[in-house]
Formats: sequence, structure tokens, C-alpha cells
Amino acid sequence: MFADGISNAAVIDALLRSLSLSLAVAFISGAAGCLVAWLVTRSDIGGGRALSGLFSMPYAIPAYLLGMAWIVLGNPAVGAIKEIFPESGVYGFHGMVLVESTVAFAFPYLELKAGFERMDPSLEEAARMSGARPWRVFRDVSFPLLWPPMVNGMCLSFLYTLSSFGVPAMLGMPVRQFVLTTLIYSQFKLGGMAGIAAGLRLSLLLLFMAMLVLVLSNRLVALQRRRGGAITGSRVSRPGLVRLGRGRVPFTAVTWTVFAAAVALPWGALAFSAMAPVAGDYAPSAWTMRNLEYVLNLPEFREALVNSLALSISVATFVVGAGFLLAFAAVRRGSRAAGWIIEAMGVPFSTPGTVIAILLIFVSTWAAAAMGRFGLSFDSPVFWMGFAYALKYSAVSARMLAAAYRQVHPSLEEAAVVSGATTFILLRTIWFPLLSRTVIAAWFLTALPMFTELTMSVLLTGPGGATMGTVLFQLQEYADQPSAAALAWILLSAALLGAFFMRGRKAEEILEGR
Amino acid sequence: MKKATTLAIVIAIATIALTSCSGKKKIWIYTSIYKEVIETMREPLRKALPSDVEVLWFQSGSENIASKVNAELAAGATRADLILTSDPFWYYELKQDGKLLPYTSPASKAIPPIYVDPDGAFAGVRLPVMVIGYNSRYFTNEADLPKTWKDLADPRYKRLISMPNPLESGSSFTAIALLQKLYGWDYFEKLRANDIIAAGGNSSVITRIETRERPVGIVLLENVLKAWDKGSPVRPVYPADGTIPVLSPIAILRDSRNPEMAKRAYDWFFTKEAQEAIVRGSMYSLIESAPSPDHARSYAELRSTMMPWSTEILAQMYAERAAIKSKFSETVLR
Amino acid sequence: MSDLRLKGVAKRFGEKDVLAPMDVVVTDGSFVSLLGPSGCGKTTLLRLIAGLETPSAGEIVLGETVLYGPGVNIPPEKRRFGMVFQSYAVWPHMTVFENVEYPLKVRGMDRKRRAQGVMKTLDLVHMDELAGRYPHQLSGGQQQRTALARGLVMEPPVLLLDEPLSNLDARLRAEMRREIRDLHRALGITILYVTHDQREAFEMATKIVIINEGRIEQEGTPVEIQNDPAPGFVREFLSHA
Repeated sequence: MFADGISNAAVIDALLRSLSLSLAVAFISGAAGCLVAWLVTRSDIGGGRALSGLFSMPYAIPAYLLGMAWIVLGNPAVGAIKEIFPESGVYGFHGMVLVESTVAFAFPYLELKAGFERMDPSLEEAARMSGARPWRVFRDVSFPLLWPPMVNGMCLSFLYTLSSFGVPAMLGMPVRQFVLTTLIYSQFKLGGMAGIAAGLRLSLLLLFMAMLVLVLSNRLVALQRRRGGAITGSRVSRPGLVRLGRGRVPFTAVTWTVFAAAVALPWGALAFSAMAPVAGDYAPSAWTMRNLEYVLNLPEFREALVNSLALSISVATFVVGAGFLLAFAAVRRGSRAAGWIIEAMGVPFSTPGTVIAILLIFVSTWAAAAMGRFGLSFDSPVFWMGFAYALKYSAVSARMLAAAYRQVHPSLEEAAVVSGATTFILLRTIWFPLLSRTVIAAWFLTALPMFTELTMSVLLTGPGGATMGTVLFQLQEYADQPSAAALAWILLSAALLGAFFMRGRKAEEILEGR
Repeated sequence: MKKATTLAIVIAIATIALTSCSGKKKIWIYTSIYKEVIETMREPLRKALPSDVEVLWFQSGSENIASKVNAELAAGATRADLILTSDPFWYYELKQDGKLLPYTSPASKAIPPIYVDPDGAFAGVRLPVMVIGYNSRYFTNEADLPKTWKDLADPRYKRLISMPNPLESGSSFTAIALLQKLYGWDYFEKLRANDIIAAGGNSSVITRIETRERPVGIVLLENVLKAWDKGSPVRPVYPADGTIPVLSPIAILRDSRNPEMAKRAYDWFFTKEAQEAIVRGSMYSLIESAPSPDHARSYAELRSTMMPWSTEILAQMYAERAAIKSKFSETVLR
Repeated sequence: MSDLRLKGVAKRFGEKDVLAPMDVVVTDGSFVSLLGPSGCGKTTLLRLIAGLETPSAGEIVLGETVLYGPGVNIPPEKRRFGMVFQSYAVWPHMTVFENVEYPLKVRGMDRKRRAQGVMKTLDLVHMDELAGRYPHQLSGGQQQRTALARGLVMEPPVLLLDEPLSNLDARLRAEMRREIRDLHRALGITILYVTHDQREAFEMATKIVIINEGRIEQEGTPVEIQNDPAPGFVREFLSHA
């Protein structure tokens, strides 16, 4: 019914696996994100400030790089952690949950961290003065008040996992565990025109599920909003940090260990692989810089660096800027149209990249033909990649910003309106500074995945259109694993470095200045 | 804000202007040949064509190219003039749909007729073969090695084998189609019992062999030879029950805007110069007199143990394609 | 009796001395006002007492119980103080009743006694008719009354108030000053009240502690200070009334 060569039972199997995987990731990343956001903003955990920035780093790592790294780590013959998963390595459901959660963690985490930072701390302090212990305060006050960003973050995690392809392909397919995206992919890959049609039919199924989740999450958020969700008051004091007491040392140790396992371990695995002369030959005595040199001297590398930087910076800025205005119109001006656009952005976000790319190839061919009639020719792969990125990644920033607008008390805006501010001045002088932390987080969450995007770029690229993702794909398919690992390691290091320097320096200044 | 908008418009116009300003005739070649091989072909091909012809290469995996061309065709027209990939069934489908321009080139006369479409829609331009690859550090004793495809079904190779996913890779599909013809689906049931991994492309099989995650693999010979060249312990076994030929044709698209130039480029790929470049890229040439790739056995020797191939086999396998894929899915992938 | 005593309590943030070591005594049943310009450290002192911040040195004792001292640091929820914040901090997701009920609920009181306690306290602050409302349906004054009720409901040994009236209009402020003073007299509870408004301090307090730049400039009853303001800062500060 859905596709050639695949039984309905297989489709249902994949559908159920997609659902359970996405749910598991949403709940794990939601719970972990909530806990870590609380620890770094509200407790006296050791190195809380450093952790606060560091924990947004995993999102900078493209999931497929993490997948690569975990495969190396879990290798049954030479892997460093093969004892943990002796049966099938990191292949299978547990591996997919692990890797997807590492990345998807950032959605609830960043939303909740921003939420905690915006929330008037005396709301929580009042509960403590009422006799509630920190956990109880969290349960009775913080959690219900931060419900909208929590639901929103988990919803993004869910949709992200639902539409993700790289990790299920790397960790699920080898052990015969298919999800919808990998099923769609195999349809596209070897089915001719009938395959494309079948793939698109399956995508509709995926889309239907995504819409369901979006509607459901909006209901959940609305439920809370009806009771007045504005929780940012005029801030009087910095929050008093909750003393973890005897728990401080273990909490600190566990949190740092989790961070190390999520980031440092894969980073190290890629470094080892990058220096190996041949995949699997990880002995330090054999280490070589050959692979790194090879990658850095590739002619495409420079082209890809320029393209990827230009694309990610410009498209992310555009997307976040548009999201900032749209969310303003939707939340503050009650514009139906803007609200719909933001809702609609959820569609490409939860559509697999392969499907978007295929559809854009249609569009670009039509566009080229139409322009050809006027004697123009237009086939810039970079333009279409930028277009694809904007489509795919606009939802994150728009939704984050809308949630942030909702949390700020209207009086802050009204004060400015009364002072005679026009909409433009209002946005520039009130909303932008107030939401700067969210804006920065949103930009960061938009630009980084664009920098390393692979799935769509590989299909849309053309001469002069190399990006980091396409070069990595090239290396993986046509060179060898160590060279691919070398580029992956460079990308990962760059992304981590970027995330490290970006970790809200500006935000800190604003916080201090207030 | 205004500045940014202006800038964006200027950039957009500049991109359009830049891409449209060169008045040269363009030939687009979509191919899955290695980038390094393309680099050695770029100059000679340009010289072989008139100076007002610009050759543009788009390189990607066979399956990505198929997706791209299919999507472009569905939207009206593909930009590609020539295609060189390694999935004969896709060419067969394109031919059935009337998307290919028949061309009987005098240059392809040296190619054995079994690799040439009788209607001239496409012709084999190189011959990758599927063999068994293994890690020579893992198998220190020659006697432990699989000698035939049949050996892979033996329980002693349980959890040791991987192969590319035939739903994703054309070469892998050729392999399973020919193997099921030879041994039936029983054979794949045994492979399934051996817990074979069938995922990714040929390169991921090489990685699995190298990392000893799966030290044996069904894989393209060219990938084995490339790895060998780089000092990897991967070595080939030419199975006694027949190496598997993966026909890799060249074809001209019917929509080609410069069919004459496309034909000249087509011819060039059968010249000695082009065929040598192919051999240097670790693939076999289909021209008998051409040398064989480094480290590989000679073409004559290879041919003696090759599985049978003919245009009829191609047609029959094409007709059974969906059934083979679905049977494979049920047997191995579930 | 349960006097609140601060001995040499000090607070540093990094290099900066926010509060120099100071001694303060809040005797049982008194109404002590910490008065000073904004940024003088009076709110920090209140938060140290509440347990929301940790002192750098000193000792805080309530009656016989050491709240903070060498090796002791009782967390805020166990100090049993009531507290009213400048921003009210009434929880938007709970009704007035639920807000006020919360301290009793946390302490595990049974439902029936809770309801009695809440209604009695809401009655005291004239909010009994609005018990079912959510905060966004209330005026600022009503929200502040809710916060006050929440601070009083568990009959704390000391009620801490942090500039509770600064967000209200002048008429409401006058009304609330009177009410808080009446509450103090009627219930006989101990109150520690932070303000920058001299009028509030002089009208309600039984003792005023004037703080500037982290130091106590003068302390005494309103009459004492009025009659004999310390030369320098206090005299200057009071002249701005």
C-alpha cells in the first residue's frame, strides 16, 4: 500500500519504532535538560558557569559525527567501551536513543535555561520560605511555570528525532531496525520514479504524525497560558543559589562526567580515528598527521569552508531575524497570519532532509526552465542550499522566540509604547535587549547545524557548491574512514570551539549590567 | 536593516549574472567516478572538444545522481547531458521511459556486445567487479579464508560478514540478483543466520573490514584496491564460483541541449587515454587490450571466473527487480 | 524568648564588602525596620537572615537555635520565617487560596486544618472573598495582600518583608501601612521590615536600623532617632524626607 517491496507490516514496524524512539528521546532529553538547566542556573554546583555554556555544545555536533564516533567506541573488536555493550555494540535502539538524546538535549535545555534566567527568582524563593525543600520547589513552582518552554523544547526534540536520518541509518539499519526516515530513504535510493512516489507517500505519514504532535503541544502550552504565563517581573535580585550540601560533590562529579561522556569521549574517538593510518589501527605508535594534512590540502576544503561559513552565517541571521519579527507579530500583535506561518514552519522541520531536497530539485528545475524562457539562466547550488537550510531550520528560532515573548510581562512593552516608541524602536530598544539571550541561543542553534548540514547539501550541491557536509560525504564514500574522521574531527573541534566562545558572553554582560 | 536587504538583492543579482554570463556551450556530466580520476580526465576531455565547449562535472554517489536526475526529469528536464554511474538497472529504466538518446558509437566497437545495449541506448564504459574482501591481519591463516561465495554461508563466518545494502547500492543489487540466480534464496537465509550486516555503501564495508567489526565483506574490488594502495590490510578474494560484474554504462540524455558535443564526449570515454585513466582508478577497462589495475589479476584471468552476464540477464533482472528487492528485504533485512 | 540575634554577620561578593560585620538584635514581638538608600545592603542582610544567601562570616541565632554559625547552615525552608517579596512573587498558576495554603501543605498539615488556617489568614488581610481567583485577576494591592497572607499563615516566629509596598500607589501604601501595623499589634508577631521609605519606617517600626554602604549608621526607636540623628549620613538622609 505504501511502497514497493515493503510490506505494510514493515511500514507499521518502522512507524512504531519512529514513535517510540522520538518519545524516548523527547522524555530523556526533557528530563536531563530540565535537571541540568536547574543545576546550572539555580544551584551551587561546582563550575556551574562553565557547565552552563558547555552543555549547549553537544548540539553543535552534527548527529552523524556522533554516530561515527560511537561506532568507533563501540566497535566489538577494538572499541574502547565494547564491554558496556557486548552484544551488538552501539547498534540498535539503545544506541539511537543515546546519540539522538545527546544532540536533542539542547532543545529543552536551552529553552529551560533561558526560562530559568528570565523567571523572577523570588517566585521560587517564596516557596522555599514557605518551607519547601529545593526538589519540592522545583516540582510545585518552577516546573509548572516553565511548562511552555519545557513542552516546546520536548516537542522540538521529538520532531528532530522523528525527522532525523543519519543516526538511524548508521546505528539502526545495520541491525535491521528501520524507522520511517530510513525507509523513505531506501525508497528514494533504488526505486526509480515509483520509489520517489512511495517515498513521498511515506513522508506524508511522517508529516501527519508531526502535525499531530505540534497540535498536541500547542494545546498543552495553551492550557498553561490561560492561567497567565508571564513570569518575568522587574527583576530585583540575582537568585540565591540553592546549596546542594552533601549532594554537591556527587552532583558535580556526575554532571561533569555526563558532559565528558557526551562530548569529550566522541571527540577523542574521532581524534584517534583521524590519526590512525588505517581504520582500526589505533595504536599511538602508528599515529600520523597524513589524514589531517590530506583533508586540509583538499582544494574543495577551502571552497567548502567559505561556502559553509557564508551560508550558515547569512541564512541563520536571516532566519532568526525573520523569526524575531514573526514571533513579535504573532504573540504581541496577535497576528493570525504570523501565527500560522510559525506553525507552518514545523512542517519542513519535521520533514526529512532528503524529501525537502528532492522537492527543491523539482522547484529549482521549474525555476530554471521559467527563467530560461526570459533568456536568463539561474542555477546556483549555493542559493538552493541556503533556501533549503532556511526552510528546514526556521522553526527552531521562531518557536523559541515566540515562547520567550510569551514569558515577558506585557507591562514592559506597554511602558515603552507609552513613552512614544514606534514598533521599530520598540523592537530594537525593548524586545531585542530583553530577548537577547534567546536570540543568541536561537542563532546558535540555527547556524551550527547549517554549517555541517549533509543530507540536503549532498543532493543540492553542484559545481562551486561544495560545503562541509558534501566534502565529508565525498571522503566517506570515496576516500577512507580515517580521512573522513579527520574532517569530522576538524568540524567537531571547530563547532566545539565556536560553541565555547559563543556561550553567551554577551548574555552575561547584559545580565551583569541589569 | 535596509542595508542588509540591499546587499542581499545585490548578491542575488550578481549570482544570476555570473552564472549566465559565460556564453560557452555547456556539457554536464553526472558521474560516480572517483574525484581523483575525474581530475586526470578534465584536461584531456576539454582538449578533445572544441574550445567553445565547457565541460561541467557533477560528482556524487550513483544513487544520489539517480535521485537528482529522476527528480529533475520529473520536473521537466534534467541538466545532465551525459551520465556515467554504476547502476545498469537505472539505465535500463531510463531507456524504457524513453529518456535516453540512442547512439551507436563507432568508438564503443571494442566493447564486448554483452555489455552494450542492443538499441544503442547505453554502453558499458568500465567494469567494476564485486569480490570478497577480508582483513589480512585478522585472517593470519590462509586456510581460514572464504574461497567462494558459498563459503560465506558457512556458520564459521557467523558475525564476521558485511555487505552494502542492495536497496541503496546498485552494485550490491547486481550481486544479490546474480547470487540468488546461482544459489537461490536459501543462500540468503544462511547469510541471515550468519547475522550479516547489509548497510551503507561499499566504503562502509571497507571500514567494517578494517576495524575488524566485520573482517569479511562482499565489496567492490576497486574499493579493496584503493585501500590496499593506502596501506590498509584489506585484500581481495576472487571467489571461485564467479566474480560479479557490475556493468557501469555511459549514456546520453534525450534532453541534451548539445547532442553533438555530448556524442563527442561520449566517444572520448572509449579512447585509450580515458580507459587508462579508468584503469589507474582501480577499475577494469572493458577493452581487452587494456592493462589491469595495480594489485589486481589480469582481465583475461578475471573473465575466466566471471559470472555469466548478458543483455537478457539484465532485462530479466530488471523485470524481477521489485520482487528481488522485496524478497531480500524479507530474508535479510528483517 | 525567641529573639533574633546577628553577631558579626558580614557578606562579601568577591573582593567587595557588601556588608561589614554587624550586630543586630530583633527582640521578640518587636517591629524592626532596616532603613537605607537602595543598594546599601539592607536587602542582602534580610536575605542572609532568610537563608537565601550565605554569610561570609558571623552567626545568626533565633532564640536558642543557631541558624548560621561555624559548621551550621540551616536551609531557608527549615528556618520557618515568613517572607514577603517586593515583586509579591505570588504564583501565577495557583489561586489565592492555593498560594496561601502552600506553606501549610508543604508542612504536611491535613486538609481540614489547612482550610481553616487559610481562611482565617485571608480574613485578616481582607482577601477571604477573592480566595478562588488567580493572581492575574487581582490588582497589585490584592496580590500583595495574598503574599502577606502566605507569609503569615504558618505563624512564623519572624516575618521578613522586603520593600513590600514600593510597587503600590500612595493611597494603597498608606492603607497597607496601617494594616501591617495593626496586624503586628493584633498578632504580636515579630517583624523585620526592609524599606528605603522613611515614612514607612517611622510610622510602623518600634526600632529602626539605618544602614549605609554596608554599615550600621545608627539604631534606635523612631523617637530617639528623630530627636537625635547621628551627624553625617543620617542627618543628611533624614533631611530629604
